Amino acid sequence: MPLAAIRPDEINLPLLLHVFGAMVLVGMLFVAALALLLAWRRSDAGDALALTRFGFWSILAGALPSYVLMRIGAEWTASEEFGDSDPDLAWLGIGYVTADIGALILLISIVLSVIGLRRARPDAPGGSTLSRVVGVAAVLLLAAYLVATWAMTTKPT
Amino acid sequence: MYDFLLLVHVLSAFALLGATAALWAIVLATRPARPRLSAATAALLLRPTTVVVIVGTLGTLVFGVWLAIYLDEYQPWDGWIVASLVLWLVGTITGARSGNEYNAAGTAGDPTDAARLWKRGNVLSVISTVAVVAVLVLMIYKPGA
Repeated sequence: MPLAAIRPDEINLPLLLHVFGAMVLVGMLFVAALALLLAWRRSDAGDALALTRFGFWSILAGALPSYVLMRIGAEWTASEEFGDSDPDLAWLGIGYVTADIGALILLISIVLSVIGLRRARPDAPGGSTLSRVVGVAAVLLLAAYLVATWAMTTKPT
Repeated sequence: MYDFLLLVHVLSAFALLGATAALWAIVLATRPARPRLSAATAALLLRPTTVVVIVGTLGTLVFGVWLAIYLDEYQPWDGWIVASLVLWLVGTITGARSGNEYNAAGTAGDPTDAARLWKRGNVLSVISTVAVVAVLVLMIYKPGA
């Protein structure tokens, strides 16, 4: 029977920040993807614009700060648990890869969201191409973080 | 079996807390003083987000209790688990009631009534969110375990 839940007390606070940040990140990506993909299908230009702006703001004001919290918590947890050693653990590697690739996709999404917010106009039914790209990116990020959650939880060797 | 139970329990927690954060984003976007989304547009986001909250709420309970029974180290009557169950109940009840207040605010004809109901919904949502986050704190720290 694994005893993964029993850990040194010093890890609890950084782990809490890491998990809380990750949960909020997933929620903000979910609602951003939902809004942007719904905007894609809306024939009413006003609805599409409101959903597009909401989706972009969810990325900027929600996903970005929660990603930072998740990443700081991850580094803090790793430093408390492993110190200066370099553990060769598959689950940790999966976590780092998804976080780093996720950071790149999130950065691109943020840039596109800023441009999209500047360009958003009420005469574009179905949302803009930018909103579609950011919506699909948010879905990809959600899929990547699902894999990361599986790896962090079950810790495959 | 342990890995499966833990994974589904954690995924349920992600669904519950993530969707709670998403609901806050929708609430902020529909505040009566400066709405960014109309009630009808917000409803498009609220329906699937509420489904995720319900799935997360039930999943955390069912698989959490299952884990407590399955693992020899923990028992469902351990103090931190009982406290989590109480907080889970508080979060669920206040969360459901906040949804009713927001729905009433959305259909209220008088703007003063709408603002009052929206504020009441916010108070209940804050209580619900604090309870859910407190459960997460207990799950990480496991005081007394």
